[in-house]
Amino acid sequence: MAHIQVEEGVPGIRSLGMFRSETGKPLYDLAQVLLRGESPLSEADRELIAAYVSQRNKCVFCSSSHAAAARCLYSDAKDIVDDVLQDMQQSGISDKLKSLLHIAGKVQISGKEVLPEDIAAARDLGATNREIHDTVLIAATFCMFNRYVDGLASFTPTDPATYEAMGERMKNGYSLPQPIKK
Amino acid sequence: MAYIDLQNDLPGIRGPMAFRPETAKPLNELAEILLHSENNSLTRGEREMIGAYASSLNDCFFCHNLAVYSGASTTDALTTEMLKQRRYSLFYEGHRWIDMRRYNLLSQLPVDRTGDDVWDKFPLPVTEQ
Repeated sequence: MAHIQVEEGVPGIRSLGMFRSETGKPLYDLAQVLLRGESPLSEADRELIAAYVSQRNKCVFCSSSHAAAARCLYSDAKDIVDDVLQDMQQSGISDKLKSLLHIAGKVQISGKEVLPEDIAAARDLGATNREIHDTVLIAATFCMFNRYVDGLASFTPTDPATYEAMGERMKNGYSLPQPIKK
Repeated sequence: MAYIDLQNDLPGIRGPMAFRPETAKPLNELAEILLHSENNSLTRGEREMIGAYASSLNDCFFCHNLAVYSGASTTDALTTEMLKQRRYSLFYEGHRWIDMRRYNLLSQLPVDRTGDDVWDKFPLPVTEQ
């Protein structure tokens, strides 16, 4: 049960976006531009950063749904998502993406945990200003989303099949859900 | 020094916002609704206080010191400062004329070509005349 009265049966941030569309609109716009807008990072890699940070925040709704979206986007290489969520450093992703996920993990603890050597390591592996910027903003934004979703105890489905279907929809992008007509 | 070259030296969140305007737009819209909108049962002061309190717990010096202001505390001086801050925060979002009209300061808006004037109301659509 959510801490406030939201539309019953609507999961996670969708129920909160419908509760207050004025704030829902810029939040969905932000998710869309961060995860689907033009960026040197692939959509799959960006979803993976979102899922990784959400898992570290123990936000079951956000980590399950964005992991599902990342699996859809990685397609044949989808096993990489669960490998990263299990043990990022031992997974088969590129060293550059590992260095960016390492920065995202630092942002999840606190912005001030990100040290010059973390940035230098990413740069040595070829990360650009834009890639570092987008990584930090995705990590920071998902810390906000995770706290928003769990701070109001919004409905978190437990059936993996629900998230699989959600991932398929999320692949096509993010837009504010319309209120249900009564 | 910022970790990445933001190509500007604006303070705090304004630097990365100018670096990437596509993400700045929804972030600014969110801040505007959460903090500035009058349509809220919490006052604007209370909402800034929540922002400053959370920022201080997050140890973010820029965000929690943003409200510190050392100028005069007369109504005029505070209004001038607030209008200046809104000018930066809401850059290119079309609030300036409405702000100036609200405080009866339209005469301070620049007229940079002879023969131009500053309107004090919106024109009526033809269908409503």
